[in-house]
Amino acid sequence: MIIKTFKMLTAGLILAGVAACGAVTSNSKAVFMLVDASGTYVREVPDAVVTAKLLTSKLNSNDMFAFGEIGSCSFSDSSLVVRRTLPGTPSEAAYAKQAVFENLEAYAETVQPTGWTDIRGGLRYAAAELEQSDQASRYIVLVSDLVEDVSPDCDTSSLELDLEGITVIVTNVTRSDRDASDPNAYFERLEAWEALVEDAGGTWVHANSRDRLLEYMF
Amino acid sequence: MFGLAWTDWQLWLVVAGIILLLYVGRPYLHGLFRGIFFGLAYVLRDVARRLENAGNNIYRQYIELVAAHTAETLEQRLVSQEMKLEKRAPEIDRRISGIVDKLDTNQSDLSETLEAFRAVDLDERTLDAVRNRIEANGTGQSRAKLASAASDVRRAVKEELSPLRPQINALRSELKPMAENITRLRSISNELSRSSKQINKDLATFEECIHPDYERRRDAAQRQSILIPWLLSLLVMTVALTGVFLNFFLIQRPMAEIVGDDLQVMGVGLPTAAALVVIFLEAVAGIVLMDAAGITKITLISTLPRIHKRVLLYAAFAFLAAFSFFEAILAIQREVLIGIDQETTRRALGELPGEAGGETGGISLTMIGQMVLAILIPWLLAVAAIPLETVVQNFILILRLVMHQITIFLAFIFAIVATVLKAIGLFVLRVYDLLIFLPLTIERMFRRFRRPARKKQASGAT
Repeated sequence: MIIKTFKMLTAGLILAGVAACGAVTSNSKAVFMLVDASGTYVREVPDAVVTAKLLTSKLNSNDMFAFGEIGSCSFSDSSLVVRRTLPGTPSEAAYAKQAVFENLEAYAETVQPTGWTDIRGGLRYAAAELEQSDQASRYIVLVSDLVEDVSPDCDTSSLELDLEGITVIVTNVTRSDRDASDPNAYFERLEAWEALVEDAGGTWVHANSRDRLLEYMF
Repeated sequence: MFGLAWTDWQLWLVVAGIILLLYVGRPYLHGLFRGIFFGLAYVLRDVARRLENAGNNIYRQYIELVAAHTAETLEQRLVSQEMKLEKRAPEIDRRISGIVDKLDTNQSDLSETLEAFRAVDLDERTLDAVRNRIEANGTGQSRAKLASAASDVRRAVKEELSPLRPQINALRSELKPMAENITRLRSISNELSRSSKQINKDLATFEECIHPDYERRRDAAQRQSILIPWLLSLLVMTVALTGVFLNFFLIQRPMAEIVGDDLQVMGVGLPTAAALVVIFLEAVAGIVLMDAAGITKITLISTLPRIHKRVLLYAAFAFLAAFSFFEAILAIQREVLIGIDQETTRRALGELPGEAGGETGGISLTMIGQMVLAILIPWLLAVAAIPLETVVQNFILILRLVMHQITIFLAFIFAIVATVLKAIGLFVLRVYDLLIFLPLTIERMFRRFRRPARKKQASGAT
């Protein structure tokens, strides 16, 4: 009890003293990871889960992490696997991260391929979630081959996106057999998505490996 | 020149015109040049003089400061030596008295032994017996009889000396402690003589430092070394600073457990800033402790009344003890955090909990090491206040010395520039006169011609 009071007092005094000068800023992050689970790309999910766990393990206290699935109709709460804001102290944050790992592992074991790929819906959902967070930097990590294929019941191809202040990092953009016969199509796809994100006010980053992704974020 | 050849008469006319103009304007232009060059030289020389005075004043202040500081240090040393001697005086007295008593006892024992030796007197019978035997030997020429006589003599002497044996033994046993006591006395004497020499030397320097004559004070101050103690203190401070860095890395991470790690203060992470604040507080507590204990005089605490100093001493001691305890807790927390983070990383990589092994939990040797360091470092920081005092004091003195050198150098530069300007001014005037040498020569000739006529007029009038 005494130690807790002492902790609170110390933190309070330091913060009050410096905040009065307006010199206190936050470096917390909010990360929404969207993973494509459609068709053959579902086999990339276990790898994406490892990436998600590594990314989570590097987050600090008060950072937010969410993991969602890109499926047939992604703008839905059912596509959200886990969403967690890490507690304020490093030890509690570490335990929270371990809890997130359990959720992710459970998801990886039960994931089923979806028939359609609604990337825009997923982006919209992630952007809406991030908008509500009060972290200083916001990221959407998109793990997909970026081949959008929307169902007639959930056509989001003309959906307006608002990605102001959000950095969209795409990773593990796999090349399909079709891309092998027409490499330009792969780059055109990337460019099209880049233009879409930038038109929506976001920042586009293509990380072609897990290491580059982690390097960029931390 | 002016588009004219040297042979053109117009050119010579222009030159003559210019020379005439220069001749007519000579008093004014001379005045102008004098004003510019000599005036500037005068101003610069004045500045140089002022700078030199300022430099000398700075040096004088430096000398006074060094003398005062040395006098203060020596005064403290003399007072402490006096107190030490006062404390030791009864002990030295007791030791000397003991040794002297022992020497007295030894002396009386020796006197007794001496008397016993004096009392030794081979009696006449023994001598007669010897004589008779020798005579008998002389007549009988028997070797057996000679041997018998010798043995009789030996026996007789032995009998005479046997009462002296205990005295000889006593003498032998007395000699060793006597030598030891003399050595002790000599060492005490040497020690006292060393102390008195040091005190005399300090006293002489102290008197020089407070002497009314500035020259004497200056000589005493110039003998004091400023740079070497400063460099040594700087070295010790650097070592202390490495301790600060070590301390910082020990407490920075677990501080996040107290203040969180998502905020930044002017670009610095909050745990980093908090760790630095803790270290600064420890340093402040250390300085207060040393000042209140009378070891250093960095702050004004040394001028406070004794009771206030005592209160501050206890408060600083309590704070440092609390910081030690606090840092020890942080050391434990640091180790716990490392363990949790390692576990999290292992799980992120897909390893099962506890799969890596080697982790026993509880208190490890590393943790004990960290705790010991955490407990010691605040006190080491407190001790760092001692060299800090020398660093600060001598730095101010060195700064004064550097300022003196800079000022004197500037004065020298200004004086040189003034001299050069004056020389240039003179050169310009000479060149000017050289250009109009013809009209000047005519003028001089005219004056020489007119001077005798004036003299004649003047003598005629009288």
